Amino acid sequence: MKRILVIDDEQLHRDHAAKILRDAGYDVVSAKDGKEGLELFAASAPDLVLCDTVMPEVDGYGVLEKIRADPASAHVPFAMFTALRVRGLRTEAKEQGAQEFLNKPYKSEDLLETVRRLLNPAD
Amino acid sequence: MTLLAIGAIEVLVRTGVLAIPNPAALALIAVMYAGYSGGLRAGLSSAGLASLYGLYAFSAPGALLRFEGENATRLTVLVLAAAFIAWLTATLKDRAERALRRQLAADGARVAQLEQSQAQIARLSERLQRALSASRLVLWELDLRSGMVQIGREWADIVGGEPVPLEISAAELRRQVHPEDRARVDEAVQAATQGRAEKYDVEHRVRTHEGEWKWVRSTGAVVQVDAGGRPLRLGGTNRDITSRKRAQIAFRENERRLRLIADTVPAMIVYVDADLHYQFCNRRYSKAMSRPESAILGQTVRTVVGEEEYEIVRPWLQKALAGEQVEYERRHAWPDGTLADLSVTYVPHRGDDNTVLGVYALVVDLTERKRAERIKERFISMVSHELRTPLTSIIWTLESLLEGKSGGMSGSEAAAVRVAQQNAERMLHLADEILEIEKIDQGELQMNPAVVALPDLVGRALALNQGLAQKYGVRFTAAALPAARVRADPDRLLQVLSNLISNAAKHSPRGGQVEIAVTSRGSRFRTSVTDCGNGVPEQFRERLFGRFAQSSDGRALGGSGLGLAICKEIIERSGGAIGYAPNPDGGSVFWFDLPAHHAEL
Repeated sequence: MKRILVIDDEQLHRDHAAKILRDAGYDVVSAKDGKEGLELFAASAPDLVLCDTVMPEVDGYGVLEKIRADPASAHVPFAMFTALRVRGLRTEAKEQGAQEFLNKPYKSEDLLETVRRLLNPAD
Repeated sequence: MTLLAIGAIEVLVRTGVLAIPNPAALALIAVMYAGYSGGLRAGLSSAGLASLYGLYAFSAPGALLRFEGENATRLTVLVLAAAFIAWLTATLKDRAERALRRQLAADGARVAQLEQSQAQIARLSERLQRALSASRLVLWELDLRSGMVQIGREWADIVGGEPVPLEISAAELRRQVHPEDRARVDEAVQAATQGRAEKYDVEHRVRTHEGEWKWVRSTGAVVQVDAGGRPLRLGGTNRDITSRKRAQIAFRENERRLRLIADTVPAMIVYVDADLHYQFCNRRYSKAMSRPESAILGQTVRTVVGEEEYEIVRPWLQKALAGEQVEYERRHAWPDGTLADLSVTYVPHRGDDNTVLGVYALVVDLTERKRAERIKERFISMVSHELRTPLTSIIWTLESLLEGKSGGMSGSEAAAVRVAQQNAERMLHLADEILEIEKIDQGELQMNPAVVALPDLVGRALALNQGLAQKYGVRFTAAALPAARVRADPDRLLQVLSNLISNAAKHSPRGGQVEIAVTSRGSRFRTSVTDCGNGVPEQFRERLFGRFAQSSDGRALGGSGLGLAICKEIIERSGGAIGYAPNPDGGSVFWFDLPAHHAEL
């Protein structure tokens, strides 16, 4: 079973994503901010990270940077989502090394489609 | 004459009327008279004739005298003496006459010369007069002892009145001078007469007869001094310089105003010549450089900005000196160490022959503005984020309710939740659009133009809106010219077309058809979206693309009233036009035209 790490400071958003993913049969671990997310990443070795952009202290870019900086984890697929509507955010996220970018509120099927794409890049 | 007179005397003598004791004496008198009255030649010829007559008188038979002995000698001597005396008399007289004639001739020449000179003086004087009036110069002379001033008649051209030469007291003349200028005039007169100044030269105003003020330039010098070298007369010319002075004052006023503007604008303004020497800088620049204007003007850019800075700006300056207008932004460290974001513009200054004479530099400090922009940007995105986050929560919560995973709901309950969900989505949309229109108003609508193939754009827009087609039960059809290419921001263009398509879908009856077409219109391509709804009411068409323009129909359908205003902004900023036309078959046609893009060869 593929393990997915969901990092979001908004509990309802975190739970929403976790629920969709669990229903689809994934193993989900979730963290309430960037710092906890990085600890959990080290502890649980997920196959995929879904991370919110705007969070206190360590934000989405901070998490991404840390994960990419370590050669052992640099290859782990990373998707960012955000409620922020700023132009250029998607490009910026991709430049930083995120493979996917989702705007909140997203539809369940869009989330699942994104996750599938990231976990099976060959498809 | 002489011969006749002698002949007459001879007749008188022979007839015994007249007795002449000595004919030779008579001859002598006659010859002398002839010599005196007739001149040298007459005297000589008279003497010769008198001798012949004497020969005749003494030798002819029956003559009064006989030419013999003592008589002959005395007669010869007398005749010769007469001839000599006649010659002498005549010679002296001739000489005297010639001398007199020469004298007279010389006098005549001198008179002619004098007359000529007088005529010349008259001509010169007239010419001078003409020159004076032509150059509007008025001659004047001040007698320092009497305090009287003589002024030429052209003075009337300046101050009015009768055009006659004037004699006026200096004090009276001084009263005609503008009160503010009197001290200056006094000082100039004193300086010239006391020898402190070589010349008298002053510009002042005089009151005309009409009571107006005219500017006069008065120049002159001491023209006469007494034996002790003290000045007696000051003479010179006055000239009307009112128009020049007015122009000068206007120019100075203009310059002052420009200076004021240059010093007031929130920018640094500099002019450097082709050798990169400062010719002008405004106050803001000299302040920023922490040195007075006097320590900048005339200096080179290198000395004022420093070697390091000079190396940075030099390539740009050289471009400008080559005739190119240059604009760039850069970070700059001020002498006090603070950092600034500068926007720099160099404009080449060209002379009449098109050579670059220098460069105008306009430097705007963007530091404050950039900081304000960053703060505002952060604020806006924060507001956006803080609005969208709870709305997202609401939408997802309602969604899970509808999916029935939180327990069963009655039909009316589900309908109510759907209404709540729709409204939450509407709020989300509105929040986005308000932020977007805010950006447009701030001029921050970023456009990243690229070549857009309109058929592809139509395809993407249709795919994006397929959900709406199902929701409103309409059918999309598309007909696009395959070669249609425009240059615009692809994302923005998609936003516009998407907006038009979703409007069309919302306003179409179930089972209706929405047609998307791309056609050619001269040098432009038109993208149109045609629906078969109710169309736009006549009275609403004018406001269609305005802010918060919304028909009651649109309101019911959950529009924000900002969508079309945003579309208009995007299309116009892409160099195109957007519009509406009623569909002849009922419904609406929304279209936008964009200039055709031609692939560069």
